[in-house]
Amino acid sequence: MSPRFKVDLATKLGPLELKNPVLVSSGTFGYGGEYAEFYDPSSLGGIVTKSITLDERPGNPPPRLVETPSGLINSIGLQNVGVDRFISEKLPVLREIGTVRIVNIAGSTIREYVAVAKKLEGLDGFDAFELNISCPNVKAGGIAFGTSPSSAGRLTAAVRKATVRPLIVKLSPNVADILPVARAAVDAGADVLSLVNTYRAMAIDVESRRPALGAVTGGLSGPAIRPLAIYHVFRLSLNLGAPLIGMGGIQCGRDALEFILAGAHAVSIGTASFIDPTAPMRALGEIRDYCVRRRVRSVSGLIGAAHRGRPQGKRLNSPSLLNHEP
Amino acid sequence: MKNAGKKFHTTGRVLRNREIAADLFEISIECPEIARAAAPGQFVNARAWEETSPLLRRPFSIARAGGDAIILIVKKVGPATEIICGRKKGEAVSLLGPLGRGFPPPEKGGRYLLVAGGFGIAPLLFFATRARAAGGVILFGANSKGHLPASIEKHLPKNWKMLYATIDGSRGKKGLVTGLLTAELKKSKKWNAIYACGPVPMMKAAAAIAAKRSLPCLVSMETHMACGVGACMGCPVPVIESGKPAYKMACADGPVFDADEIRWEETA
Repeated sequence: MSPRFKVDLATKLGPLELKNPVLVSSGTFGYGGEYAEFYDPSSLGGIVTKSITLDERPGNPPPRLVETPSGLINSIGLQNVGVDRFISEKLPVLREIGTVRIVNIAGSTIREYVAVAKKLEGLDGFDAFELNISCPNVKAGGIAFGTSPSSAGRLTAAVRKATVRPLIVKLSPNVADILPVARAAVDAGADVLSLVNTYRAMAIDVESRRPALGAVTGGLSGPAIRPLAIYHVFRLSLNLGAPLIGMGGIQCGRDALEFILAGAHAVSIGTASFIDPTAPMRALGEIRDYCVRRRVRSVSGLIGAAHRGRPQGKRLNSPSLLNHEP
Repeated sequence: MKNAGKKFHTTGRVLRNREIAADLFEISIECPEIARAAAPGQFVNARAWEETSPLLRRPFSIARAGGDAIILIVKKVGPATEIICGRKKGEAVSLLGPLGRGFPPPEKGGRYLLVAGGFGIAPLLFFATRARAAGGVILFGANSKGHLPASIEKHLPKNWKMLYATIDGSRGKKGLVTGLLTAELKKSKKWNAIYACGPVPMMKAAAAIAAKRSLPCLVSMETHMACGVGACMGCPVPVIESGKPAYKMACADGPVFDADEIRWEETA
């Protein structure tokens, strides 16, 4: 019997060394313990917690979920226990998980993000921060931080000063051009970019004749957004050298590989866990199977492979891929 | 409330599926691990298709569990329940369960008054079939007799009976099931508790009736769900917690809640 072809799944994600490229997305995996009955979360490349805010947030009125074709609009409203209860109740669980642990932080003002980072910085039990910049900036009339390069840059710079840990900035696709926002975050000190967060969306119930969500609008995730996310990852990877976590509708290994080939160093799985709680582990196995089948010794060798080879050439200069900044 | 125990992710096989009332199906699924672990009031999150539309699993309270099988009572209301209600003997259904916190175990010799509206019968039936050392009455309401399963009461142990109410009066007492509840309470107030499961206005009314008579009342809440395990925060039930408005999760804190803690004015 021939020995199985050996595949190296280890991935370098900026300053982070991941045992494999599969992470689970913020807001879909609780604080690390909720799926532990189905598989050991330590087997993942990393986990990202639910967004933590300075104060406890009750979240939005129901309904918070509406299903759309191959998608899910959620309007959770960042319900979370707040940083103090996170430290006392959730961090002890996170501490025990044997993989890269990323704490996602959110806020309404730059001061709030910095306050959360400062409270956590001196503690052990996690490895990196991910900034959720899709939150409305109440000091700017509620426009999301991630909408403009300058506010994304200012927010990133402020948190950068508060932590020596690896800093990931999670980009919003609800912008005219994601590239300048990405560049501003990197210039301000982000080590890694993750993309994409959910797409602003809504649905209307034709029987009640009212918006289907309690908070009217929400964020769309799931398979429907995958082609949109792939475009952003591919374009960002072409124009920027920063390490990327790609996400958006990944259901299986094939989808994860699509993101890696587009330029993502690692991928994150979210909505798929609701359908199959073992989806992230299954996807990891399928990535490995692909590498065995295609004789790929190291999965990181596939990163951005879709940029290379004939007959790309001039086609990569298309207006939809270019950097539009002067 | 009984603590949620171990959860299983398993593929069950349909043993039997029959339409027991208008668009109401009784589906028996072989899933030994879930069947053995299930407690009354708990539910499963089910999926019987590979496509991405519909996307999410659908939650169903367990109506009975025994041996290697569970029984679900499913109302066909949309594309996902259409698929589930169409599953034939031998076909697969992916199940996540048992989920949630169910009813507290019944007191030995206790008497319980259960109020069911439509497919809300499911968790209450499970409670009654397991409450052999207790007894009580299930009040089962629906629009008309065509919406009521014909012989569901044969599953009840002795010490339990079922009374009916239909809006059109075609079976049992004419009117809302809460009218039947008030009538039963006039006969006797000696009940350990009132449990209710059905449309929100029905449960809200039952809760008010129980409160007026200072009887404990538990309700089983239904919401849209995604993860089913307490990770996504998508299934909020508006409650009062430590004197302040808050949201608890139907899948992890519930689906069984104390009627007193629910902010009924915020529900649909």
